[in-house]
Amino acid sequence: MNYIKFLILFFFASSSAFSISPDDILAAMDKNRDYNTVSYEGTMEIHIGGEVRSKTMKVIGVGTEKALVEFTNAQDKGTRYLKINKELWIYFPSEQDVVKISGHMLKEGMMGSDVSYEDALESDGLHKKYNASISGEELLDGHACYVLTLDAIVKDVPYYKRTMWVDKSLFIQWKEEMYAKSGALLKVSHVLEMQKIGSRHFPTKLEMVNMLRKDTKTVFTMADVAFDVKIDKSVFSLQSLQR
Amino acid sequence: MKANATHPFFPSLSREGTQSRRMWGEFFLIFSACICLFSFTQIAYAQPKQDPGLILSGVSRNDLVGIQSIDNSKSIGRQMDFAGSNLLTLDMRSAISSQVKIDGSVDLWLFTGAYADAIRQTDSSSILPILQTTSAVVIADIRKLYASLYLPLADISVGRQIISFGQGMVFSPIDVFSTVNILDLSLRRSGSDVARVRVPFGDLSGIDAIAKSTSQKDGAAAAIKAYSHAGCFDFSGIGIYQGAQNEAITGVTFKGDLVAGVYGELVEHWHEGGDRFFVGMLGTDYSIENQWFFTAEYMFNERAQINQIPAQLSLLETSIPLTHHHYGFVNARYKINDIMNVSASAIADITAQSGIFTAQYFYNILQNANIILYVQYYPASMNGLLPQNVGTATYGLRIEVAF
Repeated sequence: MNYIKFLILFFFASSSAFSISPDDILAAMDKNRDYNTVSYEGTMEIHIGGEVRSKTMKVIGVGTEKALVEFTNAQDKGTRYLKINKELWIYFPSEQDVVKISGHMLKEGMMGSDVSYEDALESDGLHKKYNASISGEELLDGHACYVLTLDAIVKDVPYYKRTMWVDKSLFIQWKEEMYAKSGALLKVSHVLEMQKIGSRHFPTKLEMVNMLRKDTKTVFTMADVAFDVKIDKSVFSLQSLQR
Repeated sequence: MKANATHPFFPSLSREGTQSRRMWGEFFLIFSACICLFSFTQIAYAQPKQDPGLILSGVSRNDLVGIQSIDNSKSIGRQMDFAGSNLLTLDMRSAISSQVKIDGSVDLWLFTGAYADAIRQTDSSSILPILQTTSAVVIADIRKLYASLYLPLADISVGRQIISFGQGMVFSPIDVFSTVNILDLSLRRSGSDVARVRVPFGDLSGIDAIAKSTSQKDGAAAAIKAYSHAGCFDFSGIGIYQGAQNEAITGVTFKGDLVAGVYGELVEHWHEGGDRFFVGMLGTDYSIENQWFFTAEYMFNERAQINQIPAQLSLLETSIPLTHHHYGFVNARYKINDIMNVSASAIADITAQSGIFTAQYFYNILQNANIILYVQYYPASMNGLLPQNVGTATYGLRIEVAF
């Protein structure tokens, strides 16, 4: 009898603790990230051993499908990336040349960073590619978080498994671990700063560590973030890339 | 100093250098017409990323090299010369408004040692010398200078521009306007004096039309390229007419993914009287574990013209005539980390069993500064890429600073 009571109590306690479903969490996260258009100025600090290299850029995007990035730091000035769905083109101003990036190159770090082209190109909602489950709750750096485990249900994913620490009230993903099919930990990302922009809570400073590389990390900062700004959509074209 | 060796640090001086002065008159006339046209087309069409104002930037590229001539036919067959090459590239970009932009890039070269000696021995009529002393030569090259007008239906650009129609990294048979300088460590292209109109049909498709200014040497030329994207492939169809050669060129290019990246150019040359020949290029690129990167290209030229290679190429030549049947290019790069890599490459004239072999170490030593250590070797060949009767090895240090 006591055993049955315990089970009933456990069931209610569990259902109370996880009264929100994993899909609800993903939907709430998507709501924070959901926008028609976005523009910001980004800074990418690439830490390699004791050395730091900085890249600055202007970014505009429409949804998660189209983005145009123009680098503004001296070494890469004028270099532009055009992302349309899962494909990427680079414009090199010194040669006035547009190069389509080959698929196998998309795992390479973008401009020498720990962020791969594939990370940048990820456009579909996570719920379409992963089966999510709540594996617990944890306090992470003072933030009460759901621990969400995502297992890939399609082949075409950069990471077969992901673990996310999602803020229980803001639905910001403070930390994420990304795993290979073998179970090896590939990357860890942390949100270092978050801002409330309009009605959204949006991460504006992130750190990405590639666990396969020794002593490197990339810190990405976004400034002047504006959502739903007016953007001429023709700029997301090969013609405009060369302007 | 002895300047017997032809050498890789050929400045990107266009062979149209002397024509450039003649072309300026036409250029400014057309440019003025564009400005007038603009004044009549005050169509507010937002292009948010074109910030008005002048943007100046550039790169300083300094090479110190030792050139070793290797003549195995002599008992004392080795001689070391030293040379320096300092290139200052100044880039200027001025967005007058969201519809009008002027873009320019000027190369200033300072050659010393064996390079300066070699330039003094070349026909200087095709270059723009600024200063010549016993120890140094300073020359200038306007690599790009053009004005663009962005209209709702088309982009119009007039002036010296780099026209990159093809997909090849080293071999690009369709690129007759701006050829790749395969002797340049950075594989740069030369500019071409053209008027260009680009009409988009969609995000990834459109038409690119070009008219080349007339010069006595090159004659008039015109080209049209239609490009699009399907599946995971970019492809284009191109038609070119070159007046001087009385030649029509048709071609298709493609680039996409088939496990590895694949790209190519298939080109047919048509001459008056039904004479025609084919030139094709196929290339592939692949990477392993984000550390090893490979590129390979093969070019076939149906018409071999072995005897057309000049006995001695000018030091200021920007393109080598690829007139043999078979050429190949391979490059392997190993990324030590994100600021350091080593690579080895070969550009081979397979028919003549000759080539250019390069090994280099790259280190991004500071935020905007790179150091490159390199070795280039050219075997002796009277019939290959570089007609010369002695082999040459070059040991170089390059320091690049961007600003």
